[in-house]
This record gives sequence, C-alpha cells and structure tokens, in this order.
Amino acid sequence: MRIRALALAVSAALLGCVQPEDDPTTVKDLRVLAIQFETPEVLIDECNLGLLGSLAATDGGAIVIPPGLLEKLAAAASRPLTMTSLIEDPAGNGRPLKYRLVACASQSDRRCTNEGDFLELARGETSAGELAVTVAPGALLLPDGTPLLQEVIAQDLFKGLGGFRVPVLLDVQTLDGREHVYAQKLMVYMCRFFPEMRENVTPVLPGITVAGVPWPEDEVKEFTSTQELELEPEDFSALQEPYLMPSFQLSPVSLKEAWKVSWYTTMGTFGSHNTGGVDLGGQSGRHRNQWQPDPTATAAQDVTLTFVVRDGRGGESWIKRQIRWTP
Amino acid sequence: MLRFLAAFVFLNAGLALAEEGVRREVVDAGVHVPVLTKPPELLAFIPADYPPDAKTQGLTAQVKLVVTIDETGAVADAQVPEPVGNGFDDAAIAAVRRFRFSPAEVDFKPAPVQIEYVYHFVLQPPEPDAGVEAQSPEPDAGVPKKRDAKLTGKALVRGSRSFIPEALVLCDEDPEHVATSDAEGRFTLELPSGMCHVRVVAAGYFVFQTEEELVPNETREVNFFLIEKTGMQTVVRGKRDKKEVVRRTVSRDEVQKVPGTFGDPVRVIQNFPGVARAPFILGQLIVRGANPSQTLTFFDGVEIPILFHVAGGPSVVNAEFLDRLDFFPGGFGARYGRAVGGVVDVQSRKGASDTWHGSAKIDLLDTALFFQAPIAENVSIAAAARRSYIDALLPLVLPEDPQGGSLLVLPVYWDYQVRLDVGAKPGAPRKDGASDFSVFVFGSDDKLQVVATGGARNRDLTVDFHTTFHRAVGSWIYKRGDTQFKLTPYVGFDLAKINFGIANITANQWTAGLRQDLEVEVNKHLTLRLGADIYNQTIVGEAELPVISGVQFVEFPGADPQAGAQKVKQIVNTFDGALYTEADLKFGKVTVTPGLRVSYAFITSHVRYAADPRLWVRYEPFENTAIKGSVGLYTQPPAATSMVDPPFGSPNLVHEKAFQSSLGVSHRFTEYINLDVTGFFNRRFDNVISQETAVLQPDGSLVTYRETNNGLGRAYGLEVLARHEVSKYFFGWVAYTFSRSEEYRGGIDKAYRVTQFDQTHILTVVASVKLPYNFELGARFRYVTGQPKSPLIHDSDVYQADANGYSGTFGPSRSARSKDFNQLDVRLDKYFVFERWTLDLYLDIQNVYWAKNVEATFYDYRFRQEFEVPGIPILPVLGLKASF
Repeated sequence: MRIRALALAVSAALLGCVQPEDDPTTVKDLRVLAIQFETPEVLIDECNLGLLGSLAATDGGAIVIPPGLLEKLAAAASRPLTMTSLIEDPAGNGRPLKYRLVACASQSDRRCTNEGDFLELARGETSAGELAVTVAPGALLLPDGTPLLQEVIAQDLFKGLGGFRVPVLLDVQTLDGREHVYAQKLMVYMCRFFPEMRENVTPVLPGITVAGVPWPEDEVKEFTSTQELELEPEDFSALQEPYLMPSFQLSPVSLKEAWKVSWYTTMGTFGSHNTGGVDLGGQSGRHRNQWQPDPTATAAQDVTLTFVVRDGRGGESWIKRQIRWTP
Repeated sequence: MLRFLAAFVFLNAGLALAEEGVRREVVDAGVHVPVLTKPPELLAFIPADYPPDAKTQGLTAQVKLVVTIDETGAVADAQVPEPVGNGFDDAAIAAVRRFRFSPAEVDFKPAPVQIEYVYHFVLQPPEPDAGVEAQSPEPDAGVPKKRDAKLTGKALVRGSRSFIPEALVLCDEDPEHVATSDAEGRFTLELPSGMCHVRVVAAGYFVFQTEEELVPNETREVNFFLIEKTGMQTVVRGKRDKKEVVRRTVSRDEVQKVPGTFGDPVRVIQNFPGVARAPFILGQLIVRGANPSQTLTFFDGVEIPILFHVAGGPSVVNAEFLDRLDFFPGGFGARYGRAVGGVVDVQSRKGASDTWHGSAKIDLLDTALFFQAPIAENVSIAAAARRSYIDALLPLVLPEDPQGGSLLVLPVYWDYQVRLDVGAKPGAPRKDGASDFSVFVFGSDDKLQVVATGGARNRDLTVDFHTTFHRAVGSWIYKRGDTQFKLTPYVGFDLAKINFGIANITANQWTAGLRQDLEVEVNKHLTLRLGADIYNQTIVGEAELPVISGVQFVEFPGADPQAGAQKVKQIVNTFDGALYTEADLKFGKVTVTPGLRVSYAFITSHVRYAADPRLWVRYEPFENTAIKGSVGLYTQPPAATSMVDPPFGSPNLVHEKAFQSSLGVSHRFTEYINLDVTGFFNRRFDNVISQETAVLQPDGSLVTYRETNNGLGRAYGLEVLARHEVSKYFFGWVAYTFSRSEEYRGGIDKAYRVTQFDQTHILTVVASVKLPYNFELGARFRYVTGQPKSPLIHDSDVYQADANGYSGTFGPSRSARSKDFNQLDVRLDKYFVFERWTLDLYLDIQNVYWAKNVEATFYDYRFRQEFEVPGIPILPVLGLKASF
C-alpha cells in the first residue's frame, strides 16, 4: 500500500540502471543535428482572418480555397529560401552520402511517402558538413498539378491559424544504406493576422563562455583534465523576439521566444541535451551545461562541440567550437 | 492419597473419521452426498469417577468410545467397541453420557452425528495435603455447604475484551455450581466460601481454569479472559440479494491479510477474476477491459471522489473501517449507475455494541488509529484516522542535492472516518417498526510539495499540490413487515489546488445528493425495489496561468515560449437525477429480475438523458447450485469538467455506453468452499477518447474540441473463482481469468486493437493459514500474460528538426507483448495475545523470489533499441498493529 511510493522510487532507481548507452549529446555516427530555412518564416500580407474564414466554405467536405487567398499565398511562397542542413558523420571520415530533398503535404508523413502528396526537390551526393540548397517549397505543384500549399491547407487541422507549415524532408543515407536518416523541417508561411506581426528572424547565439569567460570562435581550447568543463551561452535574452499569434478565438496572444539550446560533442557527453524554454508554470530554464570527456578515452583527439539554438517558431542556427583534448 | 486426572483428548482424527463416515455412508447410497459442515464441539466436560479397584491397583487406561450426539448436542448414546475392563468402560460411559456438545451440522443443518472419543484415565501422585484431607474428612462432609460467598464477573475474549455470551462457569466441577454468562459475558455464582476451582467453557474458546478464594459474605468480582480458538473473525453470512451474476464479497479479515496488498481494500479486489493486473503496485481497477475511470467506488453508497492518496499511497478506504466490500465486475443492479465498467461498494462498520475497542497500526509510511464504543443504549460510535509521516522520514533518506541546490519532497496525506449509529446493534436483526439512524463522515487530504531549486540545475521546480474531500452521509432505515425503506442524504466538499511556478489553479466543489431505496416483498413470488439517486454538484474553478500553447493557440513543435498570465474562472453546474426499479419474480427455482434505470443529467447547461434496461435470470436446479445470466445497458456521463466550453472542454460529449452480458454457474460445496464460473461479453460504445478536432467558423475562428465519443470497445472472457471463505484457520481462493479486451478509436485507428491492459491469462492464488503459536502465514502468487506493446522496427532514424526529436517506427499497434509476469508475495503475522490487548507484528514481502518482471518499455532517443523497465524488486515491509 503506502510503500507504493517507495516501490516507485526503487523502480525509478532501477530505471536508471537500464538507461541506454547511446547518449543524444554524443555524435558518433550519421546524424542530422539541425536544418535551417533562411528566412525561417514568410509573412503573407493581406492574408487576413476574413480571407482565412472563407476556407469554411466546403464542397462535399473538401476545403475549397478561395482564389484570392491562393493567389496571395502563391505570390509569397515563391520567395526562394536557402535550406541548410547540418549533417554530422564523425565515423564516416568524409565518406560520400546520398541525399534527397522532398516536400510533402502532411506533417505526420514523416518520410514523405503518402501517395500523390509529395514531390522531390533535389537529390545528389554530399558529405558531412553543411548542405545548402535553395528551394521555394510553397510554390510547388504536386504531380497532379495541385499546388502543394493547397494540399497543406486541406490537411491542416487549424486551417492556417498556426501558419501554413510545409514539411520538407532531407533523406540522407550512406551509399550502402546501412545508416539512413529522414529529417523533417517545417517551412512556415504565416498570414499577417495583426499589423504588429513581424517576420521571424533566425536566432543566432552570440557566443559561448567557459566558466564565464567568452570562448572566441577561432580559439581551439587545450584541455587535459578529465574533469567537467562548465559552458554557457553568452547572454542572448535581448535577442529573443516578442511575437503575436492568433488565439483560436482570433484574439492576439502576446508571446516571447524562449530559445532552446541543444548541445552536442564528438567525444564525451554533455550533462543536458537541451536547455532553455519555459515550463508549464511559466518558469524559464537556464543554459548552464557541463561537458564531460569520455572517461575511457586514452588517446589525444580533436573534439567538436556544436551548439544549436531554436527559437520555437522554426528558426534555428548553430555555432561550433573546437577542443584539443589530451588525456 | 492419590488424586487422579482424567485427561481427555478430543481427537481431530476422530472427528475426521466421523465426517468421513457420514460422507461414505451417503456416497454408498449413491443419491445425495451430505457433508458435515460443522463438527460438534465439547461444551461441558464431566470428569469420570476413577474405578476404586483400578485406582488401588494403580491401573490406567484409554477407553475408546463411539459417541452418538443428537441434533441438540446431547449425548444420545455412548458405546465402547473394545472394552478395557477394570471398571474403566462403565466409568467412561457414565461420564461421557453427561457431556454436552454444540450441535453438529450436516449440509448446514443441525443433525445427529457419531464421533470417536478417547477417554484417558491417568493416575497422578498425591499432593502432600491431599492425603491429609483424605484421612481427615471434613466434619460436615456429605452436608451441603452454605452458599455464603458470591463470584461474579465477565467472560471476555483474551486480547480483545469482547464479551462471551453463553459461557459455562463451573466451580469445582459441581453441577450445582454452574452459571451461564449473559449477552455481555456477565455471570454470577453463589458459592460456599473457600477455594474454588473455576472452569469456564465456551464454544470456540479454549477451556479456562483458575483458582479463586472466596471469603464469607463477600462478593469477588473477576474477569476471565478466554483464548479464542479461531484465528479469523467469524463472518456472518446472511441472506443476500442474489440477482447479480457476479458479486465478490470480501470481509475485513481477508482485506487485511492478503499478502502484497498491504491491507488496502481496493488492492485486494485486484486479486479477483475480471480485474487486470495494474502496473507496479498501483491500485487501478481495470475491470473487464474498461478504463479505471469507468469503475466507480462507493463508500456506503456515496461515490468516493479521490480513491488513492498522493504519490502512490494507499486508497482512502481505511480497512479498519470496513465492514464488507462488494465488488461487481459487471451486470450490477439498477441501484448503481454512472459507470460502464464495474462497481465497488464499501460498507462501513458500525461501532461496537459490547464495549470499547480499538487499534493502532504503524508501518513504514503511515500510522492509523481506530476506535469504537457504545455510548448509550443502542447508540454506538466508531472513528478512524490515519496520517502519513513520509514527510518526516523522506528528508532522512534523500541524499544531499547532487546539484548543490536545495531539494525538498514533502508528501503528506491523512484521512478519517467517523460513524454514529442509533438503532439495532451490529449483526442484530432489525426490529419491525423500528428505525435505525446513522451519520457517517469521512474525508481525505493530500499534499505534495516539491522544491528543487538552485545549484547547478537549469530549471527551478516548485510544485505545491493539494487535494481534499469531505463527505457527510446520513442514513435512515425503517422496516415494517416486508417493507424496508432507506434514505441516504449526503453533502460534500472537495478542493483541488495546484501551484506550479507562476501558475495556480484552484477548484472548489460542493456536492449534495440523496439516495432513496424502497424494497417491498409483495408476496413470495414478487419483490419490488424502487429508488432514486440524485445529486447536484457545483464546481468553481479559478486559475491564473500562462496562455496555454496547443489549447488556446496553435503550438509549434518543440516550442515553449514565454506567455503572459491570464485569469480564468469557470463555474460548472451538474445535476444528475436517476430513478430505478427492479422486480424479483420468483417461480419455483427460477427468479427473473427485470430492472430499469432512467436518468436526466444537466451538465454545464447541456441536457443528457439515459435509459438503461437490465435483466437478470437465476435458476437454482439444486439447493447449492445456481445458473445465472444477465444482460443490460449501462451508461456513464462524461466528467463535467470535460463538457465546459471550448477550448478547455468538449460540450458535445454524450454518455458513454456499454452493453454488458454474462452467464455463469456457481456451486457451494461446503459452508466455506464454493466455485463460480462466469463468461462475459461487453460491448462499449460512445467511449470518450482524446481526439483533437477543430471546426472552422465563418469568421475564421476555430472551435477546438479535446475529446470525442468516437471510442468503441469490446471485451469477452471467462472467469473462474474457487474460493474458501474465511474459516477458523484458513481462507483463500484461486482466481483465473481468460479474456480479451479490444478498442477502436474512430478517426485514429484502422482496426480494433487490444487495450493497453489486455491480459489473456490472469491467475491469482491467495491463501492464508493460521499456524500454531499464534502465527499466521499468507501467500499470493500471480501469473499474468505480458502487457501489449507495439513492436519496434528500426530501419532508419526519423528526425524532426523543429522539435529536435525522433519518432519510432513500429509494427501493428500492440501486436507484441512483454514477457509474462509472475510474482510471489508472502505475509507472516505473529500475534502476541495479552489479557486485554493483542499485538500483531507482521512482515509483508513482495516479490519473494525477485522475479524480473517487466512493467513498461522505453526506447533510446533514436528509437533504435527498446529497454524494459523492471518491476519492483523484493520488497519487505514490517508493521505493527495493536488492538484491544
């Protein structure tokens, strides 16, 4: 009875005993760590609530998009965007990788395979690093000639109140197919519901500090200790943008970005995978983290630390730092 | 001079032979097999006269007798099949013919039986003064002594001080000096002064002997504490309503002794057929495939709003306050409604009518007190309280905050029950034309404070959680002739409060309700039951919290933005009124009971109706055999808070519904042993499921709903229960369930899939046996099919860059299973019985052989591998209980 709490505590302790060894902060094989659209959001002028409300007109259950809206969407969505993917492959030693870029209509179609609802944007070979491709996902036509954006709207439960979100997929794999990653990124086309709305700007970390001291980008840190390294991003609170979202009742909701930082290393681990954000109680998280070298490592090596920042609206970017670690 | 002791041995073997003899006799007859359901017990032992010649020669003997006892318990005949001579046979026969037994029962009716009895004649050395006495007989020997002293007192149960009625108190084995105790155990004997060898004999108790010195013209007042032969309390099984196909009744003794349940009544129910095993040692009741929320628990007919204490604590039902617990896994009567799963009805305990009693219990996490007493003629009170002290102990065992900040976890719970009764005493029949009144107040309170701040942590956590409820239940029962009327008004107050960071939510709930039950036995063919079940509830919810992403505006994957605070206030009114009727139509061995329950509900200004027709049929081809069947419709309203206006609720929700059917057969082999086999098929529809939907309005706004009635479910199976009810030395059961429960979520699932708790085979064996030296040993073994899970298929990593997370790829939903569960729990009680109180020291060990069970499955961050969350390891718990 009452020891249920104790039992749960014991079980929780046991859970600790079966934690997987594969730590998300340790990058050791083929991974996609981030995908950035520049710009992360396209704000569509004159796409107001009245226009959105006309989506309610249906024909046999199907959404009929008024030509006026479609026209405005198409105009805004034709803006070319740079899609940059951060691909890491430490074990690959620069090996070639196959990739495809695919756009599709449904966010839940995580591999973009729903029949008739996807189209390929690009394919080719690449290698670890940054893969940049220029695309205009909102302006694409599906194989049957339907605008992709129209199908996105049809499959959007909220009919654009959260923006028209076009999923774009990076499908990257090794040549032998043994390692294969599908990475989805949403491109947001947002109606300017309120005049005060501003287009989202890509978040950028101003820098990283080590034990409170800034760590310049070009400095390779020599580190010989097996102890932890205390890291923290430089203060970016002033860079977090305020923004407006429409509530379901169409009133403006004032929000402010609460950036999240994701921490990665090619050797050792970080104490936390993600820091930041705001919890349900409105309490903001801090961004301190500890890098711990691999206690089993015996050989000196170069370590790459990657810090990815996300603004919670589709904007993301990354910075890197190098460590020369010797045991 | 020699004195002798004629020792007797009341051979169990002899009784067994007697029982066997009865059985054998009738088996040979080949028609009916009567069973000795209650053996005779020796109430009055009469010492035999030692044959003088044998005494002179120093002879001893064992005389085997075949004793015939008539249906009143008197010795009708005594024969010596193998005479031993020397006058022993006649002396033994003469004594045994004056014995008095309790009536034996065959097939639960008093009946004559024969037993084998051995009378031992043993010589003992003379006591020093005995010879003197013998050589110097009293001058007035042969002349009746003057009764110039009085011995008065009470016969009481050792360890509990309960009264023992009808105990025979003898002085010096003299038939002239005998008294019988009254209902309060009181007796009075007028005796000659001097030493008196007192002997107290009562059915169910060991013979008590002592010496009392009586002073002329004085009254000596004494209490005699007799040791109860029974290990368990006697359970009185009265005639009960039998229309349901399955009703599992659990006594207080069973509740407190089932290993692995820690004496929690609700957790005991988990060991019966039809109830799936809940993960870890959680108390959820998962009945015949229904969700835990679809099974309701009542305390004296009033629903318990919060069944379990915080942080995995016990249920709020204090086992000490329980008189009886009825569990209906389905097919319950029209008296009950608002549930599509099962029903648990806990009957509280009337206060003691004899004297004051109580208990104090202490174990790892809480302590409980119980007290009951008569406070006036026909007025009694019972009260219980319990409080945890984990808040005091936890800081002692919690490690220093590993991150250098402060860490505080303070769970506190308490509950209480108070019941005042005016009217018939517990167990006594209700007098015609008399009324019984009672007031029962119960409640519970839970607080959980978690503070984890400062140090190296990136996020401070401050959670303050508080729930409480109180209920006051009145009861008026009136009986006249074949009509019984019961009125149960009740009121209640609930509070739920949570502070989390800058968010705080408070909900106050006021409840007022009334139950009315009328039963009229019109004639031997027709019994009518009519009733009403009405309640009104008002919830006032107030909150100050950030605008909620995903509820009030469209969320972006992985986003946790800073949002401004808002104040929200909701007032939710609910009225639910139901009328029910049932009629027992008896035609010989067949009883047909049609029933109907209709209800009108007004929930947050939305009106819902329900009409639930039900039918039960019972056929008793033989006296101890019944074939039972039922079909019926059952409905359950959605939670009122689920029906508030969007975006927080879904006002379009309607009642969940279930068609329940079952067919079973039960047979009682003896007073204690019975077997029940039941098949069932349940179909659930309009199940409430979490399913977000949005309706676009012409102005572009969205109306979003969190839940829909798109759920369907079905469950079918077979339940077997072989049970040995609580007897003097043993209780236990073997429960087996073979079942399948499936669900379908319209708009989400492509086909039916098994439910989260579907368990094909559930075997539970429970046994508790009273051992010598006041030990009691219990064990529970469970074997359960593993939990359903979806097979992980990893061929590639599927990553979402915005949320910075991965998705898993799985095979058909819940098409695989974790490995089967098995576990043995053991409980050992040692009772130290003192004159006026009893101390119970117990050790309850969960998972004795440390079976490596699987309670859940989780995955690595890329969903490449699955990992199993182990169940509890071996878990011993030591406790103490003092009762008086």
